[in-house]
Amino acid sequence: MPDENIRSLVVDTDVLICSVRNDEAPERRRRSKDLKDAMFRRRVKWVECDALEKQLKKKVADLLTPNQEKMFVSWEAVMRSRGLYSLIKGEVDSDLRARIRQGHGEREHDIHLVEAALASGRCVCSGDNSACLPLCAVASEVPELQTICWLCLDDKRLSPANALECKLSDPQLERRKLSLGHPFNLEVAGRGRGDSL
Amino acid sequence: MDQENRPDVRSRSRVRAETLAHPEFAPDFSDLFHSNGNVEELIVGGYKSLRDVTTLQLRPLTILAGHNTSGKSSIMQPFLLLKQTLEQESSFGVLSLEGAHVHFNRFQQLFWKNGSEVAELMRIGYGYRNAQGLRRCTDAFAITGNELVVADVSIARGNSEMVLERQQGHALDSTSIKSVRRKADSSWLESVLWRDEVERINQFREHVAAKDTAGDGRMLVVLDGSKAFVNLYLIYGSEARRYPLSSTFCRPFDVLEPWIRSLIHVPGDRGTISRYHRWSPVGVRASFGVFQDHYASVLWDWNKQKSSATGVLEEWMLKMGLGDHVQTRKVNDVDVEVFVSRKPQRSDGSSESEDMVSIADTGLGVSYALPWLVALALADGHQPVYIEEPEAHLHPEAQYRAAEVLADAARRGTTVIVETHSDILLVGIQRMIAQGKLDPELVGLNWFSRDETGATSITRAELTASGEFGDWPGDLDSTLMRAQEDFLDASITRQAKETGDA
Repeated sequence: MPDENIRSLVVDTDVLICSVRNDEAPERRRRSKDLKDAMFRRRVKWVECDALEKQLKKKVADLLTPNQEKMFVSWEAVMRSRGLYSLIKGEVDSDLRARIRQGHGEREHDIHLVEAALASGRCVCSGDNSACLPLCAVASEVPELQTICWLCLDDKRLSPANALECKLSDPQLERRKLSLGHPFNLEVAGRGRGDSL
Repeated sequence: MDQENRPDVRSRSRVRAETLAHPEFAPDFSDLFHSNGNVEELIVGGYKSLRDVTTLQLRPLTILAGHNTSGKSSIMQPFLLLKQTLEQESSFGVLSLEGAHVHFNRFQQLFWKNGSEVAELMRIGYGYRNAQGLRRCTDAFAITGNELVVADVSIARGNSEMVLERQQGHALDSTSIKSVRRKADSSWLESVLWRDEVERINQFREHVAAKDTAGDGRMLVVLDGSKAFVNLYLIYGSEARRYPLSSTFCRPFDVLEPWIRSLIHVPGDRGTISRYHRWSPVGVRASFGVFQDHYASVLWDWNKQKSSATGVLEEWMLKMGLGDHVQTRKVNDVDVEVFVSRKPQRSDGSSESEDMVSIADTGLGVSYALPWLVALALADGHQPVYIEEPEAHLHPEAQYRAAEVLADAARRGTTVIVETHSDILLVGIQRMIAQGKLDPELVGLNWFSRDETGATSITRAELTASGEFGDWPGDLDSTLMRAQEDFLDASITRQAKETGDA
């Protein structure tokens, strides 16, 4: 497989709407905006599944003002017009779900992110580490998870927008595979371990 | 050269022309030959910013979009030049520079120029399809002395192209010819000509053989280069009888000429909105000149005839929120006044007369939109309608709804060519496709851009069934997104500053 850049990305709902929310910290808003801009410029496909799309619609309706919603929809329409939107309609893999639940608990939303990633380019971006750290913990028992590259909006070392500039073999992206744990997330969480892999 | 737009010419016959010593010939072979077909492509090269030969694929709804001065109008202008040339029957010369549609005062203004680099040839052509396939016919114009002449004519079909070349240095009205040997030329002639054209040649040969058994069998293809819409003649000559017999065997522009005559042009500049409109006879002359000069007369005619077209027009007006009724009255023997309903829709039971207001007293949106709405309602069959900036002076909601009107017209069979900067109109078309109300095959998206030398190129997009245009460089929507992002940027920066200050 040619060593290429990330071509598709499952993006958590909070990351998507973060850029237009006034109540978000400016730094987070900018990172979210930069990511969406980079996805458009670099033609990175935005991947959704039914469940994520439903959740997105609900959050847009509940959390955004009409003006914020207009701005969000503008990006969505631009992405769709250019064929940069992909809705995954996959069969539910009950076995995979069971294995993840065994170690990870009933975090349905995280499982949707994983399923969409496995059905597309195996890259996910979420807002913080609350989803990926528990998944890291079960990655040794669930081999499928080991192939997923997990980006985090709050990662101060590699912003998701910058990650889209990297080749998939780049050590910075390699380190973000669930199989390798998440030192960058630990740092984000203030545990002080740092990026020592 | 734009390779994508050029036919893959494997067998190209380039013909050197000579001047006919005695051009006073009169076709004496029954001259009833006419081609037919649908115009599918417009071809322009060497014209203004269109340096390379560029092809515009026509669809029932053809959208021309791009930045200012990207060349959107330039792709249509050569055909408007031809139109005003046809409309000025008495004009001399190959193209009329000054007319109702476009305005030039020097031939040099027509040609591509970049610094000292100037195009020697300007090409105007078209592609049309009939039951036998697609054929492209192109005139190449050149300036000779102080005159514009047809330098050559190209007829291309499949992988073959025949070019009839005018010999350099001859006067405008000279007739260019090429000797054609029957056997040697039959293969290449047949590769570019239609079957009935070849039959026509064979009939002429038989006719010649019967008339002049002593002749040497030499025939000449003649290019009448004095007009843009050239015809090709076969002339039979011998030493004894110098070119006594002739026959038109090919009219390369036979399909383009009526297409251009019937083209309804609604320019972006609709001029000052006057209270009274000069009455003009309509019918086939409605496409003569620019359409805002005729639309009031068309409306008056419809009202008088109680035409169903008025209903179509009013439905479209209502759809766009521009009123639900239109009326006309003859002010005197030469002037017509147009009235539209005062409110978007009558709901209070008021009478028509109370509700009507002169077009001169309405907003510019209504008065600018009405001519193109009338043009679309008037168009018959595949008649082409070229609308510049249909969105002019319209509220975004009306622009959005205008997409439905354009789609309606395209579905009715009209060839609608729209030049636009409206992102919302485009989104409206995408929405109709995604809803299954408009076949994406009916829509052609063309993005015009210029390179560093200033040369224009067109990027076409094929819309998918869900209304996506994929990797098309069109930036109408993303400009809005960028503007919003810039606002977000500014807002975030200000907020960060304030937080820091705090």
